[in-house]
Amino acid sequence: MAEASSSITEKFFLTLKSSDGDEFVLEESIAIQSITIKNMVEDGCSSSVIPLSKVDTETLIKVIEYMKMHSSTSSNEEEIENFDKKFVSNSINTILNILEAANFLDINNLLELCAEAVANRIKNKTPEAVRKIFNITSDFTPEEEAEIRNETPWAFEGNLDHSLD
Amino acid sequence: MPGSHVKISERITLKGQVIQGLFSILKQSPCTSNLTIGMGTLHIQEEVIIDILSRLSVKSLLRFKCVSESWNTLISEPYFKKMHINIHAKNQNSQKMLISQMSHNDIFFTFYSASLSSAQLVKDIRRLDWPSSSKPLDGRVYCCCDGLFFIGIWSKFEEQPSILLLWNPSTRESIILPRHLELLPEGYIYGMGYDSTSDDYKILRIDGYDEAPDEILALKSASWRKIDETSGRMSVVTISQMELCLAFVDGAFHWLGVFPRSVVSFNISNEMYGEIPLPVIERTSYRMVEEGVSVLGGRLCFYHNDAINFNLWVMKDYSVKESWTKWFNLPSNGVDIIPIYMFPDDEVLLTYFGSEGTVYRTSNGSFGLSNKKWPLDCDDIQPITIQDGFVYIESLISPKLGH
Repeated sequence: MAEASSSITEKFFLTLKSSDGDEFVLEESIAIQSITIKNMVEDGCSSSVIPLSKVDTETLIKVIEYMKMHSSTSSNEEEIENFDKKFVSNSINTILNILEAANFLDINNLLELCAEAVANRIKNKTPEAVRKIFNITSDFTPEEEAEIRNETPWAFEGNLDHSLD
Repeated sequence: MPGSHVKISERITLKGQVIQGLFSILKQSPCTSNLTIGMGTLHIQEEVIIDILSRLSVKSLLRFKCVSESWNTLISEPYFKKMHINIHAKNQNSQKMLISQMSHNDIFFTFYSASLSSAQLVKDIRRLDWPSSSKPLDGRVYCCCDGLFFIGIWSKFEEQPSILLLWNPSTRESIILPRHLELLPEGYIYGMGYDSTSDDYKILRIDGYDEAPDEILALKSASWRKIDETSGRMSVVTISQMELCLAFVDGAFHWLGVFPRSVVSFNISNEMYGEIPLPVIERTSYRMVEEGVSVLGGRLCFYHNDAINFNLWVMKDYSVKESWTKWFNLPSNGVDIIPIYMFPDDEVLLTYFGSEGTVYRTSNGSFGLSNKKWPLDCDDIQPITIQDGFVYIESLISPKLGH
């Protein structure tokens, strides 16, 4: 079925360029999982190279890997599930980069997958660990922070996770 | 794929809310620049932060308020609290159950919270801290909405509860609500809902004996008010002891009325009564029947139990009589049954009020009653000690709304 249709329909290819200047050639049918790219194609910007100035090479490779898996007609549900599970076992920094890219490229499924994964990874963490992961400097005075902690001291109880990944 | 289209449109609405929300942060907080955070290679956009945070539990969010001023502001924003509810309402893993246990032996009246799962029903039960300082003798959970519970607490053995509380067990906040204008001994029933027109929660009390006017409390006004047209509305079917609360769906409270036999609705915004016809039932006998309405999967339901069979109908399109659909029937063998929740796979959680006490079971229409049951003999909680059980989602909504 897939072979029959591909022999009739001509395959279109797009070239995506990462912020590091690397170019990736991808089937249009795979790339348009990104609504941002789909809109560019519909606006007729697909003949030239599509520059993705906000996505570095490492992240773009991961995003393309994801899009290929999720558009392939040969992969079944179980394969996709296993792929997703492995995909979100990357370092939290990598997932955050992919999440940013998914947001920019507007790939809804990927965005949900990564947001859920990050939420899962940080849910038991200490505020200090979260600050480091998200690169945040606290703008509270020690008194202000103590006040917030005192509002719900029980939210700081239990086995909290100090790790940064 | 039609499914993915739905998701994308939901996502767009979400982004709309985010932008609106951010605008309100911009107006309120002088340190908005900190919301776009990151140094070096990691620049995380605010909408991505919001997307992550809205998936966290209430406990995690309360802890993360001290991460930074902008996170604190975001987590305290009303629009973020709403978004948090919307995300978790759709997530099966976020469904919880609040169970109250009567005083027995040396144990005082106690609340428990548990996770609700299709596989195990009730799991990870933990005891909740009591919302008020004194140890109560007895309590009743009247109704809940968006993680807020309206409860009555007895510190003395008397007819009326000593205090009425609005309580969010997830944030552990509570406020005392004023006493009713007219006290009723029994036979009353409550409902709670969110009114988007006034951006407020409202609690409605109706009298099952049709003697007292209906009373309503808007949380922001914090006082009970009689509804003038109560006399003009249809009579109420005598409310069964088992009935939990009024069914709140599509912006209206619902209960069963007689003369004519139908569902009475009360619109939470314009506070007008209405009527919805019931499905036609073939009466096979004149035995005592238990009937009622409830909400399952966001749709109005009607159940009819003639002590031999329990029948459930679902109204697929709100207020369209022709859309009443027979969902299933089960042998009831004289047991009172109330449907309380529908899992995504259409399995329905039922409360059984039998001689052994309260038991929760599930039924999947075409396959009948499952063997899943809670509590079991091995559980700490015994059926005979269960008072009330409500399915809910944890929320950040403060009962002190408007104060």
